[in-house]
Amino acid sequence: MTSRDVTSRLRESVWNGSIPLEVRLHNGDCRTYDESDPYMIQFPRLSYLGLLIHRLHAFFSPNLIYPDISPADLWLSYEGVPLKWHYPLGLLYDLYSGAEPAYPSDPSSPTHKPEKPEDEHRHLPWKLTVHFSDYPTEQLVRLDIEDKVMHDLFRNSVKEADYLRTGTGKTVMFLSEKDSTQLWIAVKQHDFSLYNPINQKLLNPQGAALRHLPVRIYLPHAANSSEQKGTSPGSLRVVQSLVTPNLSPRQPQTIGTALNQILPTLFPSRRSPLLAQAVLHGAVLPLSANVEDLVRATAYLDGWLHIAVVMMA
Amino acid sequence: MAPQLFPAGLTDPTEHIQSRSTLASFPHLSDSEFDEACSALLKRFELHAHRQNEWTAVESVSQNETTFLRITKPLALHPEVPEISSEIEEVELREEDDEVVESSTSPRAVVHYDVVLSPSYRVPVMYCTISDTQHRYPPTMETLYSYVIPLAFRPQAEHVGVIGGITVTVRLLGERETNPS
Repeated sequence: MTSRDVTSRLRESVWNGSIPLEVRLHNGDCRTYDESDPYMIQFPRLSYLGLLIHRLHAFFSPNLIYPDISPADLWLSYEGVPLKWHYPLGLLYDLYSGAEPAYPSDPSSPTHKPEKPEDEHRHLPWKLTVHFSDYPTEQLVRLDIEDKVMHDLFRNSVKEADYLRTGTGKTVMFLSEKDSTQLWIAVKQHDFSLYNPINQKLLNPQGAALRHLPVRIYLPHAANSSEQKGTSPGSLRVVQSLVTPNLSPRQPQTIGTALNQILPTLFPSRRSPLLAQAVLHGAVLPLSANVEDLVRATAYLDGWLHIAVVMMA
Repeated sequence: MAPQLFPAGLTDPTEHIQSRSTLASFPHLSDSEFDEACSALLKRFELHAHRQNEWTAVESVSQNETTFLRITKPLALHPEVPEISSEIEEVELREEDDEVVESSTSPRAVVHYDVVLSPSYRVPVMYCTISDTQHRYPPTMETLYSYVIPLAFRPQAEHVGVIGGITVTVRLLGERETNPS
């Protein structure tokens, strides 16, 4: 199999990755306290929960104490943690679900810890709570019924990724109106045939190699015990640094070299994970993985690698 | 009167920075260049704060190995509304109302302007946050344009992009983008 085949197969499995969700109405918003049916959906890992507000609103409105409440007042939580609208579902799941990430299938790998098949699905469906009151204004951006805020958050993220890749952001700025619209429709409908042509334009700026790689690292707060005060449940430390595609003409940037540079205390070795693991799309990343290859094949819809750091037991 | 961008005595906060030889990769700033600019502005404020009354405080805040500059101003009491005669009359009428006296004694809200070095763009970005013990100002675009953005800048800020040139986002204590290098 050529590397091109590997890339497109990987891109396809990442695109098709999804998580079953079971969304229940918060008792405080329910006319019958706890007797409403849950909303069940198989939702793409790459997509945004904010795109679900209209469907959730339509489903739950017969059960609401105040049925005329706007879909924009709706928010989701998991175990008391309000879920950020601008984080894709896969990142939220990797950060908060507590599910064990998948390990490389090589049994000789020192980090190999096979999970029993029944354990693997113990966290599924992911059980979320939908609220229609007490909006956590301090922690969540409020959406609007036309999805404009969602669109703006997405576009800013795409622009930032493009600025890192090209050093100018021109690829995004010079996308035609049609292409920009197509990109957002592709996200809303989770349609690869609409998404891929635009994404290829963004990943291959004319006449230039990529300057930096859009990588953002999310650390749950327990991983940084010195800064506990004043933090709310589920708060994170988000870390970002300039990551170049190559360390030298013959040495490409790997996940190991990047993490060792950005978080040397958690990743003291560039080759083997000693204290923490990097998790992307539910899988532990091998530290030897080439970062540019990952950006091209496995980035989220906004072009970023959103990597969760999980401490090793 | 045109809105003042900098209070008197701080007319050109960049002067100090320009006196440096050069910025290594203008317009991009390194962490140390940004820190230097922040401390220069902080120092100027300490020297000249008494000559103005628009900024209440300038401080350097350290969080998760990142330093940013926080400028605090009191929030304007009345929303920025176009001055048409009927509204002026209304304001005058309200000032004779007893409740006005009461509302002016309630704790006044402040706006924090946090100037942060963007880890991606490598230029300073500004976050405006209204801090109000009575939660009277929800973080919406209406609040932004009514209380924070001077009327004169409203059209140019509002009519670009999807929701305007200024975007809404959430930054929590301990949850900011940091650049640890």
